[in-house]
Amino acid sequence: MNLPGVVDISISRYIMYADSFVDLVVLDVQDINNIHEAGRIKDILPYTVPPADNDYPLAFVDEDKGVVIDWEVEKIKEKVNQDRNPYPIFWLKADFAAMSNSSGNSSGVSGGGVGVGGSMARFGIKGNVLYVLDQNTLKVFDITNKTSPVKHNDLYPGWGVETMYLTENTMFLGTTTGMVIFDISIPLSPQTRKFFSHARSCDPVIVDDTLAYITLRTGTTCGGSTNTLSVVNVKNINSPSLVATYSMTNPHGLGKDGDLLFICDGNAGLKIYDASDPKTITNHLVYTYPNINTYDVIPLGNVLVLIGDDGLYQYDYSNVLSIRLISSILTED
Amino acid sequence: MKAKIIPIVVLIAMGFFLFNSCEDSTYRIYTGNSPVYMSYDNLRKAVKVEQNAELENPARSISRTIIYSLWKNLEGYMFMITVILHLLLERHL
Repeated sequence: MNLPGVVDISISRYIMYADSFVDLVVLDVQDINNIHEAGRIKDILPYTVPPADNDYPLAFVDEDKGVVIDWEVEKIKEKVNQDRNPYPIFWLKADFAAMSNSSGNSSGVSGGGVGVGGSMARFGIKGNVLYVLDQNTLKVFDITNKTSPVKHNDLYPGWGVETMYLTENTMFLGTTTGMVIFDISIPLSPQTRKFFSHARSCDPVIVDDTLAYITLRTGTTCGGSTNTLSVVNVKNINSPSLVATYSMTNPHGLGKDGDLLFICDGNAGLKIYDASDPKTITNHLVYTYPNINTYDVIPLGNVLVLIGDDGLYQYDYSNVLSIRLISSILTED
Repeated sequence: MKAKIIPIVVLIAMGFFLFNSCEDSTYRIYTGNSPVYMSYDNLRKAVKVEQNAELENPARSISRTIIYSLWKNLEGYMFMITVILHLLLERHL
């Protein structure tokens, strides 16, 4: 399906919400052979530009001309007194890995009735409320009428918010400097509960019952020099506490099913740990798949959904010592 | 009268051109990333379903799906059958 600029999606029954540059698009996916646009809120999301060649400066961007879909390195003649791009926000390609639905039938980490999302999701649905993250804003939409979302309000959880994880009554936001915890028992009015700070880095987060698992990694626009997995006790969301921190290679997304913890650890591949004891996780490495280099993972029953640069893969992990590729959908480029 | 007006008009015109300078503009030429735009109209017309993507090894995933759905359906029926059998047995024993 061609949907320019899409980075994230979220599904509530047969309605899919997706971003398309500055617009929020509503797609009716009930009939897989007749997926069509059912609604759109124009100019609701911030203006973003794609990554460019860092060896060259960016030319002036005229937002009135449209959205920037690419860059071409060429000779540019530019008025000196033109305003430069004061506020470029780049797509984080690694962050498009959001797959969620509201069926709540997964055995993987998810709250009852809450969409199952990847650890790097930026869209989330709780009941009739859609949450959309963009850098420093949490946008709250009322989706009581599924095809006509109504923007309810904006919240500002802090700068550099990257990932969202929802449980039944709690929202965990991974920011470049920590984890923000919101109480969403009243979905339209999230209340800030606590900020758990960590070293500056990108940090996908998942939460399983009373423990939050956070990976911090280097080599991103988030900055930082840490490659770790942290386990945080969030039983009392008003006073989260660090349980343990483990050194990793370059951890990206993560997922959990029962005691099994799956971590996409950069070039080190996919690692599977027995996390039954949160204080000795790395002592219990079940298996490593060095050839599986993806950046997010969602365990769904016995099917592991992995998202990488080149597409989406499904693996059967009923035997974790020998996971099998079921199918893949490769992206064109 | 007309002879007096013409010099005044000429003086005003000269003053306008002499004292109204063009805005200074400085240009710079450099090699950089030039944006490739998509207009907002085209962006909003671009949503469409393209050809289906090929799924590698689809037979296995389809059969898994079918087996799973059959099993899930069977679970419901098995429960109903068990309840009916239980009620029948209760009535006859």
